Amino acid sequence: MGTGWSLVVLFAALMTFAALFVRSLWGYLRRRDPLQRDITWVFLPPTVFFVAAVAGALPGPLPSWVEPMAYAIILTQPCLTVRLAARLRSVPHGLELFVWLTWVFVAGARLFTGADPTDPVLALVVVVFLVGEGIAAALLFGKARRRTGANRARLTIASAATLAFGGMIALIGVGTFTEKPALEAAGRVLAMVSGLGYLFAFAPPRWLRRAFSASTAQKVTERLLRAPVESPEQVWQIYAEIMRVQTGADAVAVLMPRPDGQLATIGYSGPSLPTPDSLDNADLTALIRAGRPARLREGAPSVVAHYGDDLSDDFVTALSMPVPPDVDGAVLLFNRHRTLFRDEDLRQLAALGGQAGVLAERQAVIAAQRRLSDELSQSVEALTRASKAKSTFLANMSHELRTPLNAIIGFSDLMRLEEPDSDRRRVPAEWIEHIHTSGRHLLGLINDILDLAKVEAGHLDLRLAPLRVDTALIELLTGLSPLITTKQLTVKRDLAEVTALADRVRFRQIVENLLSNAIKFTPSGGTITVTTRDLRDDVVEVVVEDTGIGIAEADHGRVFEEFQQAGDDEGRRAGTGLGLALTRRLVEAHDGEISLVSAPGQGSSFAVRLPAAPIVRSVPADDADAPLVLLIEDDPQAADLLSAQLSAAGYRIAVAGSGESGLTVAGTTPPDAIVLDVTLPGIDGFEVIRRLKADARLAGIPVFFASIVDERQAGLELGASDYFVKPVDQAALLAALAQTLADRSSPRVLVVEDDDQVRCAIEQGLRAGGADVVACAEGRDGLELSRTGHFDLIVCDMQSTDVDGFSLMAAIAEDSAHTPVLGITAGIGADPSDAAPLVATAMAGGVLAEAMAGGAGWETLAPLLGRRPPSRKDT
Amino acid sequence: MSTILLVEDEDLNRTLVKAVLARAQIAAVRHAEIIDAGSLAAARERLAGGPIDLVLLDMNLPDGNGLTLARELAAGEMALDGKRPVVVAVTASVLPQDRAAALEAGCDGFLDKPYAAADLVAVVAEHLPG
Repeated sequence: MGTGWSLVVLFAALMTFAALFVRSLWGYLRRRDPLQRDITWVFLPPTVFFVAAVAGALPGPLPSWVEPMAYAIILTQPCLTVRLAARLRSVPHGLELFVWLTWVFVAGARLFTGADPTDPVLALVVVVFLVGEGIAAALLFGKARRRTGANRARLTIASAATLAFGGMIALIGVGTFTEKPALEAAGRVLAMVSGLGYLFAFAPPRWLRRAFSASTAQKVTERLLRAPVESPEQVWQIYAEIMRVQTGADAVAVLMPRPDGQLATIGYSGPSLPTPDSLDNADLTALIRAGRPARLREGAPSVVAHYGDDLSDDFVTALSMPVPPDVDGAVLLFNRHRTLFRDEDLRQLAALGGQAGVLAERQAVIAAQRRLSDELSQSVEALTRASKAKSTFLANMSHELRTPLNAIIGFSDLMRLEEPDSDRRRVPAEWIEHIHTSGRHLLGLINDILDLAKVEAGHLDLRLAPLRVDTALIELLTGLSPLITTKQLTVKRDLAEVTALADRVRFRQIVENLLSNAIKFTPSGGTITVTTRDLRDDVVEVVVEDTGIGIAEADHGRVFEEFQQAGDDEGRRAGTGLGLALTRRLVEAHDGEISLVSAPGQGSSFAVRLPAAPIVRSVPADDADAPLVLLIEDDPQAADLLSAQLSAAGYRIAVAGSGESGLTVAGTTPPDAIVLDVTLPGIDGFEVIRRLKADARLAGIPVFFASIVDERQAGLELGASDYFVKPVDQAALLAALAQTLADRSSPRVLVVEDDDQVRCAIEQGLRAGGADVVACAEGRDGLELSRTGHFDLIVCDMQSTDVDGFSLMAAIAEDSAHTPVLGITAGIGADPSDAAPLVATAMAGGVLAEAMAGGAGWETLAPLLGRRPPSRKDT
Repeated sequence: MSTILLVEDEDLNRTLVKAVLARAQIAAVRHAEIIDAGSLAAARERLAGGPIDLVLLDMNLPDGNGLTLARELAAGEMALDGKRPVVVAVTASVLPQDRAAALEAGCDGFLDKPYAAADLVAVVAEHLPG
């Protein structure tokens, strides 16, 4: 096979590289861009080499120095490529030096061996060349990987071309040496391929550049339009981010003209910077006109002022970004290294970006409108649902109320039809029972509805106190025993002694509902199991289980909703449909939860979980007046130790295992002092004291820290009376407690009451409790005194003779916002002299509480004062 | 003598209806035979077991809605002894849509709860044959 065609290929390769060389040289001479110069250098050795190769292939001898010289020159190509790569990215220090040193060594060896190189020298040349090209290709490829779009493609091609060039030298070298023309021909083909690769990479034809930039522009537009844009302002920020990714710049700033003509940054992506406010147009115009990356530190002072010092980037490319219809924005691209390519392509990108930005802005506006309309339709839907729920509720109410009324009206109507016997009628006793039962049912229904409304409005006033759940259940079961006996049900009890923190009345309501449901839905002869137990985490559980009809899984959620009973609308109804709804609300009001396990035919099991009451130590009965100390301590051993020490010293002790339960106990039975640990489950001791001091009723209770953590200063700053580090010095704690309790002054109470007897009774009661009492008969005097006297509590008659009690109370309440006011009123027809109880209504803080005022002493008033009387021991 | 089927699951209401009808001034009403059924199933059994002239039908029954029975009767799907009885819905669901649903299901009359004794008598008298 002749080598004629391969010579043509060689010649074509020569022409390609020569063209690349001339073109880059021309580019450099025109713009004096250092990057362009380095590109020119890369193409010089191949051009020389191919000229030598073509000359060698022509007939006629060549001087003997030509070939070694050509080799020495071509060996610089990897070095120059590494040098070019170093302009585009950071290159490990010494690598460039290393490749140059290798070149000196290898080129020297090749020159020394002259026209007839030995095998090892030739092998060395090939190997070193391959290694050098490999390093250069790897550097270019590494850069390519960090770029995207056209940049990436061009750098990858350049990297491949470099490798191909290395392969070409290897093939030609080996081919010449082994005298195999086929290898040499293959090398020449590879040379052509490499040349074309370089051409595409470094001097792409216009159509290729357009294709590159069009594909990038399309990507920018696509990503911008698909980005989840919330507001028009966000569009340009996202545009900056996308531009940064697509161009591979280190930072991108998008600028738009403000009304005053200055350009302001509206989008920026890159290392965080102090927000730049504006730029002078003139600087930018100059940059944009320059048409190539400018060194940031030269010229463009305002750009440098804004960006340069914070970005270590040396190069900034400014692109004008025309935004339709008539705005001229700009995009600044910051680069640490030179970019390989001219910015003509980027300019088109910026222009397209401006248009895409406008589109995206419009899209964002439309999206915002759509969101608004979605929200509107959602609220319309919610309103419709609420209105439907209201109608349904009313329809159900009507139905439920009519059912018992039917029996009441029907039977009483029948009674009226009976023959009268003078002023009496003889009627079947059964009818009276029916009317009574239906009346009770109606009352229950109305109470349920009122309770539900109360819970709904957040007005359910729970009186939380420790409640023995097992005892309460036994009482309830006893009350229900006639019903249980009638249906011949078996009741199994598995009652552990547990104490919940609950409202007695509401708890009974909860469990009664569950029990009567169980009785109602269990067929005769069935079994009801009632279980109580302590769960971990301060929770008490009551389970009522029956062997009744059961509830389908699908209905489990609905049974707890108002008027929603098991079965569909067409199905059966039993009960009021309010019981379980109310039960759930009541349980939730206790911070508890209710759950159901049931299946049709399998019976139902309702489990109620309520917060456990903190353990309160029992105290000897003769010591009931001893001051109460609340220990808030989660470690049982520490609590035992402290409470043993304190009870030995004559104090009554309550122990709470967590901050939350401690606060609850303090709220329900205010102690005389609190001993508080810092590290607690849930809220810590510091939070507990913060809340105590923030509560006007509890702020007066002295608090002592006892903790392993030594945070004395913090504790005292939060208002603690003293701070003890564990192990607590028992004597010091007891002394501090005794001192603080003895120091407390008696609470001051103002009594305004015109009835002498009542006033004296209240005064005596309060004095007996240890309060300082100021009493007066006239409302006007009372108002006067309340303004000057600094009282802890004001007790005020609602029917004062001169001023109407309500206006008086309102006036007092307005004056002394933090002083509780207790309004008292005599029951109608009650005679205070025979100690008939008065009904007192505490109106403190909008809380309505009923109390018997007959002995309006400490039992009634102490909770309002948030403190207890000093015990006899202290005084 | 006419026969009335009282479909009602509450004892209280059954007692009431019987007491009211037994004291009616109108002889036909007073002398009507009343048989009762506490569920849909029991009602179907009674309807198959002997001729019934009038059904007083409650809506909320343990095994379904009373309207189901009304529909079955109207569609002639039920095994009957004798001709189709007149059906009067007696219910505490008194909203216009409840009434419409009852009429659509084929009820011939409608009595709201709570009712006075005279109302019940009047409705029964109106719908009893003869």
